[in-house]
Amino acid sequence: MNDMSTPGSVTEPSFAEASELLEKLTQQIGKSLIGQQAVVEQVLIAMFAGGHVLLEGVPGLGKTLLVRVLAQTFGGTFKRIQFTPDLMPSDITGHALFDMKEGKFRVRQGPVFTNLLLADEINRAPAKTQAALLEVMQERRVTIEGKSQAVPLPFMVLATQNPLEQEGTYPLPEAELDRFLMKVLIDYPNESDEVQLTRMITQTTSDDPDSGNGAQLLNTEQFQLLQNTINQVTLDEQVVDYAVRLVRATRENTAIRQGAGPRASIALVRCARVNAVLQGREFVLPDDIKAVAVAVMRHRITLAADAEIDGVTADEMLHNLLDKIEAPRL
Amino acid sequence: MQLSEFKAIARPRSEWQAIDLGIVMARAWYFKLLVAWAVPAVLVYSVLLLFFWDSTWISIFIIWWCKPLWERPILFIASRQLFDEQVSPRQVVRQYLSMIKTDWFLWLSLRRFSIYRAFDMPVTLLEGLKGKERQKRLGLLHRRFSSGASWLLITLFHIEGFLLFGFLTGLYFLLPQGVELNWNELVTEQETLSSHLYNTFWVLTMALIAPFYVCCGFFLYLQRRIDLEGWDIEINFRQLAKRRSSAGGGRPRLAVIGLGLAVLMGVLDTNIAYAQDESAFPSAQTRAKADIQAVLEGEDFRRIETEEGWRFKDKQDEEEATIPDWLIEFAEWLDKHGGFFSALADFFRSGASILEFLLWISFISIVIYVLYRYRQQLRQFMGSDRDQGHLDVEPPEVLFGLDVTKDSLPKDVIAAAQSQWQSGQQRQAIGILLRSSIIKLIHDHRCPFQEGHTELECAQIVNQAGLVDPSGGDIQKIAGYFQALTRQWLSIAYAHKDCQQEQFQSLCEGWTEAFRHA
Repeated sequence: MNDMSTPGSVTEPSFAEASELLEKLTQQIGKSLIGQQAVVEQVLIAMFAGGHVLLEGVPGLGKTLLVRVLAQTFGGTFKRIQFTPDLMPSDITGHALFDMKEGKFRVRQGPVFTNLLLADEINRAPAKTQAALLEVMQERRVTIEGKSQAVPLPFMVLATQNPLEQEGTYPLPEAELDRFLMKVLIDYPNESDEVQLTRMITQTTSDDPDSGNGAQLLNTEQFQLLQNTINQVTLDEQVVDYAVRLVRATRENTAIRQGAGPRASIALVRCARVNAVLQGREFVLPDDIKAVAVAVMRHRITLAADAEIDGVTADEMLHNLLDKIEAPRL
Repeated sequence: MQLSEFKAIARPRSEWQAIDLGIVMARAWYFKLLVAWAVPAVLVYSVLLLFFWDSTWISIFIIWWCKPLWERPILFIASRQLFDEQVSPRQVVRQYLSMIKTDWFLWLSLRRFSIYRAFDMPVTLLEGLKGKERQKRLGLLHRRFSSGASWLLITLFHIEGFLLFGFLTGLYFLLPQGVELNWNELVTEQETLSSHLYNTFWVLTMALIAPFYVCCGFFLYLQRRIDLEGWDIEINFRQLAKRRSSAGGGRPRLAVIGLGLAVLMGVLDTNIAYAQDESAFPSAQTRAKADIQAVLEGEDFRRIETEEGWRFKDKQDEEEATIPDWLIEFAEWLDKHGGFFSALADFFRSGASILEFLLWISFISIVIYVLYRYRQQLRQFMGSDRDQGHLDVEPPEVLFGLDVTKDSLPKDVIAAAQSQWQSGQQRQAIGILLRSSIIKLIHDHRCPFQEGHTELECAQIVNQAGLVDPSGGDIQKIAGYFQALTRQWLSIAYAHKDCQQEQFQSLCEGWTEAFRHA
């Protein structure tokens, strides 16, 4: 059996190895990000499904830490952009600069040329700047001065937004939201986890609990091999059919003004594959679809005005749909 | 009650003048009346807050509903003060219980939404009338001033609302300039606190308005009695008698003067026609009436015209017959059978009561509907729904898009599965066993499967403790078998892995073993 946890191994891992590795990754990140097991799992699912994540939570819950530890686990690069109202698109993608010595234009690459990009408080920048991420999120390429350049793979955007502050923010447009594979909600840890976190942090004077924990478990090449293994997970037609029926149900429900698009069906199946491996299976079950459905679809649906007035949330609506839509059988 | 001690001037007045006098009366003893309303109400409100701090509406609703009880001490004080009888707080406290318990249930139920509450309350509290007597008395009183009594309620209801709004606005204006209120936070996050603030102001407003309402209603009532019983005449007689006796005059002369005055007033003041004592001076009145009738029938007051045109037939009669006679007779029959029925008869007397009756019917219907609609939640809340794992409704006929009736089962499940297996249809063979198991679990063991449940979720439900087996089968065995069958099904259906012959045989035997009792 290949030891995938040793960086340098280049053969494609078996399902058991892939599952074991994902488990190790979850545990390692969980050591730094205490009390956020579900968040860690969802972010890992998105990462191995090749998607981007929109993290929503109040400040101080370790969003930056999560991204940094995630980058450390596979030896990737990590950059952070603090979105502000005066941020320009070229501040993200890069720009051409005239070199006086050589007498020609040179391209200066922006922070987007990295493996993991943390777009902190993405809704603080206007739509023009937010749109600079559209191309790179979809194509994994950036166009600077008419020339298209690829960003290093794996590439993942983790954008954060604060659910409480609404003043001076620019809500993300639907097109941008649809490009995020998952919207992950980070909530406060429970009491025992918070005690453990406080005890751990106060052992040093640094606020970063990840010092020493960030051991590299795989390299970028192994990362892609792991993705290949995940893509070979057995997927029955009924499961695909179930995912599509779920997504289509969001378009037929009168309490939902705008349902999820086809990207949601694709995202559901991709995430379900990773979830199956994470659960130690080499085949996808309808349960995997259910497990990721809310995170995948909560930002892709817009509730009707009367449902909002009734205080129904997108999560409640999706749980309701999951209860009503027939699961595959026989 | 000594009429000679009556502090107001007894004279005929319009209903608006009577209400004005009520306002003056309330202002004269305002503090005492306010305290009489506020002390019991605030005490009860405080106790209710202790019990229902989170459900803010319950406390204020009870205080609002019990308004007729809080108003009684005001009436008690006002009725004595008006006859120059000083009432001490101790007296009020001593009398409080008897005041409250008089007809309390009817006042808090059938009569709670009466628009004549303040006008009618003295009949219960001061005259102590019940049943048919009360009904007759109210019938007499309501011939005049009932409209004023209803407008009194409507006006003060609005003033109460304006005052409440004014208090809240005033509070807002008193906030220092630097303080900015976050309305959203106030309404959502501080909902309990802001509700309590609002309710406190509401109680204060009710307390401020109540003395005016009760006093005005009371004076409307008094004015009716002044008109009906000729208090003004009686008081004048007494004053004359007093003056005469102090001057040393004899009784016969006083009687002559009194008779002369009465005749004169009987002719001039038509209000006295309502008086119950109208037979006191029959000859004079009869003569006066005959004279008036003769004048009215004269040429100056009569002109005969013939008009032709279409009009509704017996329109007036129909209007009067809004309440059918049989209903009134029925109510009167009920009235003979106790106080409640007499109240009911009273209730059917007026057209407004019909509306009130309909409102009550609607209210009760809504309560019944809500109880029925949320019976499951209520049962869970009351803790009686212990067997949550069981279906308490008829088993479904279609689930997961499959026919799950017992009739849809093959006669011999095992034979059907084996037949599929032998023809190489492994998935169908296991599928028959799974489907049959699900149908058995739904019908025989009341498993609450739902449309959205996956196979694994179904297995979890079966694994939960407390499933019913009416035939006495081994539940653990069934749960264990269903787990194994589900695992095999997932493997064949989703992992596309073949099932071994031995495994299939084992599942067939397991099925017979698990469901043989059913």
